[in-house]
Amino acid sequence: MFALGLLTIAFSTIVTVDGFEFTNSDELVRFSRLLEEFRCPQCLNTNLAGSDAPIAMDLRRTIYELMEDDKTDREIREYLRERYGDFILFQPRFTPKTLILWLLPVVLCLLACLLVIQLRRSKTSESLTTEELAQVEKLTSSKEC
Amino acid sequence: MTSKTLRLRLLFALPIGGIGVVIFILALGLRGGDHNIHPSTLIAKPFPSFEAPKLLDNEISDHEELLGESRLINVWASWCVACRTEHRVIQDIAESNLISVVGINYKDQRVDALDWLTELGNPYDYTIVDFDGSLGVDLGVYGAPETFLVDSKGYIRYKHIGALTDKVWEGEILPLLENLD
Repeated sequence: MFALGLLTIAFSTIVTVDGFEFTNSDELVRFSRLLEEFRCPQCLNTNLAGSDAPIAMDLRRTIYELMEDDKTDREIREYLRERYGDFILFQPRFTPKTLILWLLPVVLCLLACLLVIQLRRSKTSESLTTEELAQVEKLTSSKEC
Repeated sequence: MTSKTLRLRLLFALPIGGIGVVIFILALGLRGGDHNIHPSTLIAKPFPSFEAPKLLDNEISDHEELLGESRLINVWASWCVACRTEHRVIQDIAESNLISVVGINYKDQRVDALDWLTELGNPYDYTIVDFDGSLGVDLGVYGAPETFLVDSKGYIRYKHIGALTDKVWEGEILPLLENLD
């Protein structure tokens, strides 16, 4: 977030953002993207990019160092998760515990579809048969008002 | 009532029932007390490896030095207000001689930390200096004070976030400690 503004500036040599040095724009984009993936442990519901908490600064540095060690995104996520728990990930992992979280929307959508289909079906079956229509016709026309 | 309208009613009951289930699940979530980090992340994992100086004599200390006996490891800092209030509890625990108490001085200035110990007393067998908070990150610490119970083989058994109280010590840590021995 804070770094994206600088992306418009052409990368000549080294760009320093928040004390971190980047030699190419891909690294900076990756860094910014990673920061937005993690929840700051202290200020609830802000990400690491948007938090001023000291721990967020430490974790920014940790992520920067892990990137320097050529760790993959997956490894960085795992590193932080091992220490700070699932809580730190904005996108929960797919585990037996989070099954309901991931599958509930799908199940609800399916149920809603079933409901709509059922309603439509019962509505059409509620309309009168041709025999019944003829009867109505007969009854209404034969009566004098 | 015809079977048709009965079926319709059942169909309408379905989403309402569904909403009821969701509300029930959310209500259960509200009842579960701890909304912050689950402290269980590092439980049963080995204490992270580290090398850092000790506060008093600058001698290098590492994770292997923690082995051999159970330790209560207390993360503290002179700038931390809650650490001041929990200090008496830490002192009482140290004086009980039931467990070795080790400090981690978290993101502090050496002079401030030494002044703090002189003023309030030093209950720690020794204090490890974590000047930049990197050991803190390895421990999943997000602020001082936090307290860990580590067994003699170096495994983390318990973690308490926030100021330690007599109640937590007697009610949660002591029973665990008795099981360790």
